[in-house]
Amino acid sequence: MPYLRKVKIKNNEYYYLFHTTRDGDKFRKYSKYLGKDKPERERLQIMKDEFLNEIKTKKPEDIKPNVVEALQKIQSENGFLPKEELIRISHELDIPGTDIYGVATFYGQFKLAERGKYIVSVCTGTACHVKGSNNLLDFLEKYLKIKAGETTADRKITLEAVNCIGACARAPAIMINDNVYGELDEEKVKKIIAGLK
Amino acid sequence: MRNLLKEAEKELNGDIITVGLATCGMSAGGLPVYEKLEKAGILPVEKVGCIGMCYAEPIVTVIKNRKKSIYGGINENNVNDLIECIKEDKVMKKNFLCNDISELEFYKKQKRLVMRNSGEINPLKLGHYLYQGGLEGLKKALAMEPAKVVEAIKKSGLRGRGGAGFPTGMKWEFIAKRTGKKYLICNGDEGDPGAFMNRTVMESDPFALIEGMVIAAHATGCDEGIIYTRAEYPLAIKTLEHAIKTCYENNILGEKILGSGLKFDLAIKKGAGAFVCGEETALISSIEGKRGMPRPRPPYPAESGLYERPTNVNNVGTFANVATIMRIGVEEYTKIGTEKTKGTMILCLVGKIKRSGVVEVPMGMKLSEIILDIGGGPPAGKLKAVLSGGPAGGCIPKEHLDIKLDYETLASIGAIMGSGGMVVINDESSMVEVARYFMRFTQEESCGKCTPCREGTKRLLEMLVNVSRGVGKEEDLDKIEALSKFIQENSLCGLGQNAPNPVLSTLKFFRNEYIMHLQGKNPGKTYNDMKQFIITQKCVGCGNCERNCPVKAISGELKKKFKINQDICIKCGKCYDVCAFKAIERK
Repeated sequence: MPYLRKVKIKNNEYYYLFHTTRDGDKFRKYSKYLGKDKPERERLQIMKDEFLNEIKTKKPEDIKPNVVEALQKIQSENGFLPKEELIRISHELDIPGTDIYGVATFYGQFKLAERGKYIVSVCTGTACHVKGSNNLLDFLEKYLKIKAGETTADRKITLEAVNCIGACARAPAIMINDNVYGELDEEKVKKIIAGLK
Repeated sequence: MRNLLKEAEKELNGDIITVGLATCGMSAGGLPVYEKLEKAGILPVEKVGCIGMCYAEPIVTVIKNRKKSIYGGINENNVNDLIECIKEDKVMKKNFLCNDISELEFYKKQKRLVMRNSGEINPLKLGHYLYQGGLEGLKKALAMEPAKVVEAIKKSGLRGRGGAGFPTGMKWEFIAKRTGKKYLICNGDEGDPGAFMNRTVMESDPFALIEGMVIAAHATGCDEGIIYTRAEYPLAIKTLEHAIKTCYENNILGEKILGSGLKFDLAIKKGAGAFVCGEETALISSIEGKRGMPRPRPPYPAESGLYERPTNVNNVGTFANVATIMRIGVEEYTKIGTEKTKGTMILCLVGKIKRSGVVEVPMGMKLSEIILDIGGGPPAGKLKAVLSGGPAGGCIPKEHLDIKLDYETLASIGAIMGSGGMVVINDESSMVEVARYFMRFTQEESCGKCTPCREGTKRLLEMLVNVSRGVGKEEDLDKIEALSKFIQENSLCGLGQNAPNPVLSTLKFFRNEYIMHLQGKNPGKTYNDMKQFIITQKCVGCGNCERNCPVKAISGELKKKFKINQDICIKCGKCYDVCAFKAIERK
């Protein structure tokens, strides 16, 4: 039987529906965020029915919110993960902010700081390393006057060192946004970077 | 589907130009070549996948009047010459490679079974796949009872291509016994630096992967599948998405597949960039949207995996092999390979090697044949060692290169098969530095769940950094060895258990190089961490470096030039970082 509960977060009140099911010896707790205002009685009954229906018809993966997917969506829209967005999905998915932060910092793909228009990823995989990708990275750091992980002041280029982009046979390689450039040296990199608008 | 096949027959039988446009072809500038060839309009132009000769990219194949000629290194500048040559029916000698790939040294010893379509067909067209005999395996499998298919895979002796080499048939048997909702996962999270064979299969022959997965679904009774792949492979994702859509349109996925009662849905999940997610339990929690951390086994995924349901996880290479086995038959397949390890292995030859690329060789081939005959050895300098299996693998010195390629033999000398990346190292690199490089990698990628891996790799890296800088004594090498063994024995998952492999195997075979480092000599040529830190005339005597030096190696008076005592200095670089006047140099 679903029940309504008030949850207090930082002096703000939020209303949730909760429901628990038993499958053999396993318990599963479901919840649904309703909003900041308490729903009216009749409306509440409809919401409860809808909630029960959702649990019955949906697959387990639909009910458990997928944090990685939510973060990937935010990242593709903004280019990075703004703090406000993280707090928003924390409320929306009913997952503590610390857990969301934990997932966001676990994966290399997620960035918490704003990035440039062009993401220059220097591959530091084994094959590239053997062929001198560290010299290439040093050169780019000097040339762009930023360190790996930083963005130029005009927000144009972000320099990153990444683990293997899979272009090992054409090492040393860099990836600029989704395009891969291989068999590079300082002169070639200079040309490519100068070609970015 | 018949129409698609007819179309493909027309396209592939007639005069045609194909351009290899997988990631390596693209990175070499294949796209402008393709565009120019298409604009010229002399012959129909087709985009194909990667043929494996990454060293000669971009590769253009011209078939005119039933005569085939393959050209390498065609770029924007010389594509016009090629167009002229095709018009005049001449051969462009400068870039001509061969008439057929079997003529090349690179292909003579290869056995292209799983990769037979790569670089031959357009990966976006189902018709091309059908023309090459695609879906035959699936049709055969659908005519068999599921249990018979499992039996066939068991008989074929196929072992997981992800690295550990667990028999696939047995894995399927476990999951087939389970009832209720089951998941089938394809592990395409190829995080090993130096390995890209999964990417090649996904980009060049996506239908083979899907076919293998549908066969597995039929055999194991899973009705939902997920391909988990890296977000760093944008082209592979695009190709797979297109292939899945085409399969749904042609009744290869969805309900009542090819007129049988089989139902199977397939979707792609993009990873978010964590090496440890290649481990199956970590991969599962990553799909669920949590931190991708491994958990202790048992329970194995076959009992409780994705969403606590029975789950079967196989590598991309394994599924591609399944399609091949069903197509050519178990008997034919078991003829290839050694007694314990059947079939072929796809390897990536990279590093200091003349002909780098993706190769497919029968199991049991000697490593020297692969490196020297197929790959052509290093372009300069002397061959020193081969690293097999990425950061979890070990190094094989050139003296041991006559061993055979199979799971047991490689494990016996401290290396592993891994996913199949072979990085060739010549005498320009120092092995200590190679070990340090891998340790840095695993230390960064350690998920932090278990202490031996989290803390152990960190301390191991510190010790290696010291040795590589020439600081420390010979006893430290014993400490490194002891800690390595401790990490191996006590870590939770494969990442930690295999993390010290590169250190242990380099210590075993190249202990002299470690000692050279300790004596302040450089065994390689490219390495520069042996350099000393020196304070130059720019020093204004602020004393900032002195305050920050952790070992008090810097001394001097304020407002005068400071000095570094090289005997005490541990070359940590702290002074170099804090100096506001750029007065400290590495020489």
